[in-house]
Amino acid sequence: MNWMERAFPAFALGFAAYYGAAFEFNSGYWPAFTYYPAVNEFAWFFAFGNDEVGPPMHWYGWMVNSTLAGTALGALALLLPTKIIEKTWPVVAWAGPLAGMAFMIYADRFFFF
Amino acid sequence: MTVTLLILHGIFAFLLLGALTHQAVTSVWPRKPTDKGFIAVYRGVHGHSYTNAVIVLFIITFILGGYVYIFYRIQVRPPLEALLDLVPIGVFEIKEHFTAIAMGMLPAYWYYWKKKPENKMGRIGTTLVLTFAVWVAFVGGHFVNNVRGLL
Repeated sequence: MNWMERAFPAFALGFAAYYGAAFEFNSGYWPAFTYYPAVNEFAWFFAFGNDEVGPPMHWYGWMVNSTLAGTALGALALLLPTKIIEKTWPVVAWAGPLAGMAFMIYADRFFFF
Repeated sequence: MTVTLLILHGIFAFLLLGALTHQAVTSVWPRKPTDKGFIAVYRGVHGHSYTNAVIVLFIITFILGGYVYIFYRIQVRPPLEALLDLVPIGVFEIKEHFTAIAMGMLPAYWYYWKKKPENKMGRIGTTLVLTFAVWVAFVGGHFVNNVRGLL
């Protein structure tokens, strides 16, 4: 478990980065699936809504893929030398998600202005 | 059923907000032995002991919110869109994004509190960003809920 725990800060960065990108470029494979709450149906990857199936929800699909992206980046981070991990990840672990949140405000600006 | 779940979501969010805020304050501004009074006592708790509670409360609140979200998408958002009342939709979007990104931070938060507590930068940084996200989500959720109640 100890070696795996070192991947957690990188997971936070990978998760936030993918989530922001998935929202911005939402199409194709960015969400793992689309959920139609009005009819309780699923479709793989990105799909549109229509009068028959109602509004689509991509959020759950983004969450799944963000988890996969975080896991992948975490696994890659384990290959880095311990010195780099110890020095950079304590900042990256919170600055990455914070930057992701700032980006989401920017991406959603049209709701406010 | 939806209202019950929404109230439960709110109660767990309230508990989470309290625990996380307490932990954040004691991390940034710990009590000194000479400090006295109510605020000093508030700052004097062991932040370490809040970690697991925060994680459990966050996950429960997140799951309840993720379920209630379905009803928001079907019953709340369409009328707001029809009225071109975009600000509440935007506020909900921000809440949704912040909590999702905060969810991804939980393993790192746990790591810095439980395995590397000596690393102040990681421990305090993850706690403050989580606290910020939960405050935004809490206030945003109340705002959207109240707006829908006025429609």
